[in-house]
Amino acid sequence: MPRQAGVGSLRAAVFGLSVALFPALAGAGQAGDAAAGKQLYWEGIGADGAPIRGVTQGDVEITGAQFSCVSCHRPSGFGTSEGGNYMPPVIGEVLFNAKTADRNRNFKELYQEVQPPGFWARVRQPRVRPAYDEAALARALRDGVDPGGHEFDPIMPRYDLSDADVANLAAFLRTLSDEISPGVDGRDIHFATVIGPSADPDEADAMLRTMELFFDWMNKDTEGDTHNPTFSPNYRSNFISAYRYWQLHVWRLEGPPGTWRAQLEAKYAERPVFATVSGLVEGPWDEIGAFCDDLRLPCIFPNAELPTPGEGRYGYSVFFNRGLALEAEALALHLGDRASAPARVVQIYGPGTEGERPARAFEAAMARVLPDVPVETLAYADATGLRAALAQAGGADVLALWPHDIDAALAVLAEAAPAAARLYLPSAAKDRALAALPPEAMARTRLVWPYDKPGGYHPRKFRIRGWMHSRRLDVSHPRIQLQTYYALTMAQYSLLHMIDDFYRDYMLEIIEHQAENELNPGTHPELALGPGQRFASKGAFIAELAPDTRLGYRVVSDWIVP
Amino acid sequence: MIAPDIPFSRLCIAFAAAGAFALLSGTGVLAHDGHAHGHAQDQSQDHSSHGGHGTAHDGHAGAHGHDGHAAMDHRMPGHLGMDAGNAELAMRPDGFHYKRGHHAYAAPAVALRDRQGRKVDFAQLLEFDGPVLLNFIFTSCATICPVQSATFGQVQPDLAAIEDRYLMVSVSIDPEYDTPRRLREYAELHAAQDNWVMLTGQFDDIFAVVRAFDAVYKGENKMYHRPLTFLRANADAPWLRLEGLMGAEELADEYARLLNPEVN
Repeated sequence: MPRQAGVGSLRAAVFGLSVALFPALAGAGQAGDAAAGKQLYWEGIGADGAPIRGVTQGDVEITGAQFSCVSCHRPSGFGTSEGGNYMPPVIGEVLFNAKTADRNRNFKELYQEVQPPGFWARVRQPRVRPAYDEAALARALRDGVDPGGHEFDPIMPRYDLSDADVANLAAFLRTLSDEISPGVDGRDIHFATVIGPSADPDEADAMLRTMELFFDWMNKDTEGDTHNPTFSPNYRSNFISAYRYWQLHVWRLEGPPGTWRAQLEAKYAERPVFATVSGLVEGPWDEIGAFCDDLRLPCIFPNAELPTPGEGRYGYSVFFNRGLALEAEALALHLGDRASAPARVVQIYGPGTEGERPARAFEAAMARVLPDVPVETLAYADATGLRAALAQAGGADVLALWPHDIDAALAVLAEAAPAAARLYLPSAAKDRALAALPPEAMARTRLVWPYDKPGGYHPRKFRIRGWMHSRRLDVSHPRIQLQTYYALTMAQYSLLHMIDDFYRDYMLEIIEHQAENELNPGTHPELALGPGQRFASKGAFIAELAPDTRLGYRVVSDWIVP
Repeated sequence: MIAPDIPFSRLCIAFAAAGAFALLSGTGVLAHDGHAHGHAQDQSQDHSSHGGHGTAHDGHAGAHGHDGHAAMDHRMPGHLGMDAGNAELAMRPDGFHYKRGHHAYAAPAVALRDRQGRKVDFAQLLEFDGPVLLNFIFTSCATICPVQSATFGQVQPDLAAIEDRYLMVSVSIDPEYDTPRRLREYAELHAAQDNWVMLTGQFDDIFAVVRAFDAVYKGENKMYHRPLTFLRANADAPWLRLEGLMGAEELADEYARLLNPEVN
């Protein structure tokens, strides 16, 4: 016996070694490679390194390059609904267990989705089935038949997958949304909000007052709903598990951006949160964004002017817009739209990311839009440097200024108004420019304005203002507070849809769906996302300063989308 | 979408009641004129802005003659799907096939932009005196657009074999995100030929086109758009509206039948 056992374990060891060395040779029933399965799910790349192939709608041949599992079944694996098509969840816990009629699992589809009648019919069909095993999964993926013998909808592609592909995918699906995300327990859900060291204290205070009131409101609602003795017993038994008390943690950062990552990790280690909501950060978001991505922590709609450059597709930070880079690019397009191109364009930028990032974006966009117009770029470090740069710019046709410190820069402009025919400033300079510039200079000044124009109609804004006034919230910083309310709304509605599936990826997917639902607090002309999109507003106006009007500015261009 | 600020509890109770009713609702019969080709279900209204709801309601009332239910039915918001057409779809085993209808749509004269960034007068584009296929997509759309676009991509040679002087038009309903650059990438992904025009533009102009083709989606949220394909034989012919997803052969058959009606 001992000898035989020894041989057995030796065989097992050799077998294990061969699987480890040649994972592509592993067949059905053998352990799949979850990493390879993830690549298949996300990129449509099979175990042989080539795009997988399939057939949808009966005869439309597609490859993994056109779309893959993640397109429909989403990063969380919870599926989605679109255009009347219902994409069911494919997480391991659902697939590898028998499926019974569970209203909570379909709650969002049953009651909260705006879909045509065919969809309603589809989600009401009780599709019970036995649990999948790997052979059943292979049959489902290749032939489109579930273990209950039910044929899939024609939109689900029938894939030409190898045994290794199926094993890899099964291994990955077992890991998909397999554990409730950190930051939630049986009673509470924890959120943080990040405040940068150079954030204006009054703005931070206005944001926090808004958040505290909102949290208090949500928690009173939860208290009332869960303690009401006349509450529907049906409801109680089904949805009591969805309620959590919201807990707010304020993460104040100190020092230079290079040190933020370590501070965030320390705060997270002390108190893991489910997501960060709103926030106020003047410097670059890069360090915070990398933290959110690495921890797969949703960071929902911070008030930030310098999002990480790039598209951020499927990243964990979701922004209102691309900030100063967007403003710089919109300005370049605006100049390109003019009847005659400006002859001399000068831009002056201050130290740090606040100056450098828009200056680089402006240069690149000008090279595309007006390749024949050279851009003179001048840097400055302090007030003396700015004065020298302004003198050098002289009577340029266009002078764009990207200051580091807006108050200091406007003080210089006020005493030594540049001779340029047009002076362009970022949106954040509006109030200082109105206060500081002499009338003659003000008339030559324009702002890039990535917000809505005066008089935009947003019913939700009226409602939010009512909410704020009835709670005696001092609306001292309307934009910050309305944006914060929007971020909170996104958190609220995503939780409403998640029931008790507290998975962070699922939260982001619901926010992608929700963003466009007429919840705009009136700050931007439109707020909308789409799958993988991370910037809700995409353009900017050019505005003139109008001290005679209530809001102090007037829009003078179309909405420009770079 | 749910109404904002309604307590979760009240919603659940309301929806639970609505759901229970849906299960009870009967099997009305949707008008079916026997004209269906292949798998398509023909919708015979000449003009419709509400899909098959009118027909479905009539069918329901006729099938039941039950006052209580009929009254209840009319109080139910349409999007909750509590009408009889819904139940009919659920009972039919081939509930995934597309619906057909003929409509006269007027192309609005709006200036859009193609994937090369050139301005395109939409009405002028559709003055093209030949067959046109048109749909609404957006490049980040995860679910139905990739299938619609793959179908357009695959069917190109099939259409050319029948009549190669045709125009394909895909209008982005997410125009601010779908810049000409993104449309170029998307065109490459689906092997689009030059006569497949992809359009973006100002949101209001795009929405004028959406409205003109009776393709408005619920809540003005693009995530709730429907799979629609429009075909027409020439500049004077009405549009054939196909609602639902279809295969490449089905689409090519529709195209062939549109151009050579006498063959069938």
